[in-house]
Amino acid sequence: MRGLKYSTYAVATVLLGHAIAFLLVRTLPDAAIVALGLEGANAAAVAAFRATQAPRDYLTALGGILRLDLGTTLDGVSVTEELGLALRASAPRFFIALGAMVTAVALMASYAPPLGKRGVRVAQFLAFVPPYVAPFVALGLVTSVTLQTGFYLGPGLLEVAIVMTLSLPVTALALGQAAGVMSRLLETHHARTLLALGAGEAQQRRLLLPNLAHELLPSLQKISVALFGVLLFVEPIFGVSGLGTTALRAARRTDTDLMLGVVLIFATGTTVIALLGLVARRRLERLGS
Amino acid sequence: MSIRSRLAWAAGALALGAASALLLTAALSPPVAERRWAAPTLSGPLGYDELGRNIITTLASAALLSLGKATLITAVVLLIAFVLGHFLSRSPHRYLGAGLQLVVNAVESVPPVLWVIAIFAALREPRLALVGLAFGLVTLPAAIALAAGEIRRLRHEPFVETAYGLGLSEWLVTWRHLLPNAAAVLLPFGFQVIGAALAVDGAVGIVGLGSRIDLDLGAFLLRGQENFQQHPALLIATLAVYLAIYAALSAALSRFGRRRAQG
Repeated sequence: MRGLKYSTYAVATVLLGHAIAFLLVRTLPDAAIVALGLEGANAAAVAAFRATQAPRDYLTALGGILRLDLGTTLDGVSVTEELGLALRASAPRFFIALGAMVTAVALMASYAPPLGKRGVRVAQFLAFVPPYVAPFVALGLVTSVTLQTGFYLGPGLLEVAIVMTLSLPVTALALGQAAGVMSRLLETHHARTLLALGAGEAQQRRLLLPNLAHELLPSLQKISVALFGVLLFVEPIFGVSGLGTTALRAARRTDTDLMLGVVLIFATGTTVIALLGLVARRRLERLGS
Repeated sequence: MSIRSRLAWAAGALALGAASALLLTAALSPPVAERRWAAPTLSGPLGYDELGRNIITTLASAALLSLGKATLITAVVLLIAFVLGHFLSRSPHRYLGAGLQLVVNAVESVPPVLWVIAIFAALREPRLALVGLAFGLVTLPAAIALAAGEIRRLRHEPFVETAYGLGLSEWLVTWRHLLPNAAAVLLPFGFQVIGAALAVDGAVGIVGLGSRIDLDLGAFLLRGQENFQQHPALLIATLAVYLAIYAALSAALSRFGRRRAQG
């Protein structure tokens, strides 16, 4: 019953997000004007453009989702195909960055002593600087190295640079928060009782991990959604293909179908993250009781 | 607060005001084309930018203006988040609360880039309101969720339940207990929001809608990145200003934390 409730809520969220995006896309400049330019967009050219690129109304777009037909881009390519390519490029970056963040938090909580005051300050500063600054600095360094040494950064190393710039701000934010929560947990009576009962320091930390996870879950959920948003800025800055570059191209060209497809993926991703967080919280609560 | 520290604050505010006025006057003076990327001088220790403006005065003015703008935007975001979070946490109308949460989640599920472009395309002017609106829409869902969660938690605290039990009105409980205690969570969040809001024009610039001549830290970051090969000082100086603002805000936040702990 609860699963049905959550699923209905998730579908409603995705569809509402899609509807909002449809309205937003309607406010963008006319695709014909964007494609042809103000000079070339005379009435005949606009009419010819529209004859090949007839805009779909909301119900048709909604029906398309149910039939898994997301329409075609302004270039006449299937949106599903285009998004598939973009997702194939972006998904590994997103999951590696997410994995790096979760691993760093788990390692810090399990083994390392909580970050000292300086460590927390550095983590806070990295999180304070807007996420798109890291790609700027990384890109500047990459270009400098290439120009100074003539050493060309291959696609593999470029991917590493992208993932690092993607994960650095969010990892710093998560680490800063985890350090604060862990320090507090280690001071609780529960933690001291564990030591008194003979648990070692490492075991004490391991036993406190579920408590840490429970307190951090809402933040981690929001940080994961933010990671999605950062992806949209990092990819265009590095000029690599992916969901971010596709979203920016679609919005700039008023490519309605492509934009709605991107929104569908974004909305599904954020909703899945929210649902996973909810399920994890319930599990942890059951574990605690 | 003692008379001495009040005088110190007043003198500091006066000095800041005078320095801001001087910097703005210098930054708004017409650029000299012959000075484009001119070498550092005594009056311009960081040299001159691509428009022939003194980098140090324009950067300092941009920092002051961006800080003012970011503080204003963050204050509005936190205020709206607190009001809506308060409403959601009360949830007297169960379905209304759930509906509002649904809308918040749906807004969050639309990519920020689309919000920015759509708002700029639909409204065009005034610029500060547009930037604030776009930024607010992107930040608000997380802020509302945080505020609602914290207020919901506070409502179950013994001191809040006692306040209700003593017959205090909702308004009084909010003003005396919920707002001051929620500030402990909302202010650190606001600290992160200010960091992003400081350079929101840079994010708008990536989308292709910003103005490169604006006195804004975001615009400086964009220009610093574009000219990093030939003139790295621009990006390095902008990041140094960021560090200085971070240090000042961090000190203010620590001070608030200490006073709270003492209180």
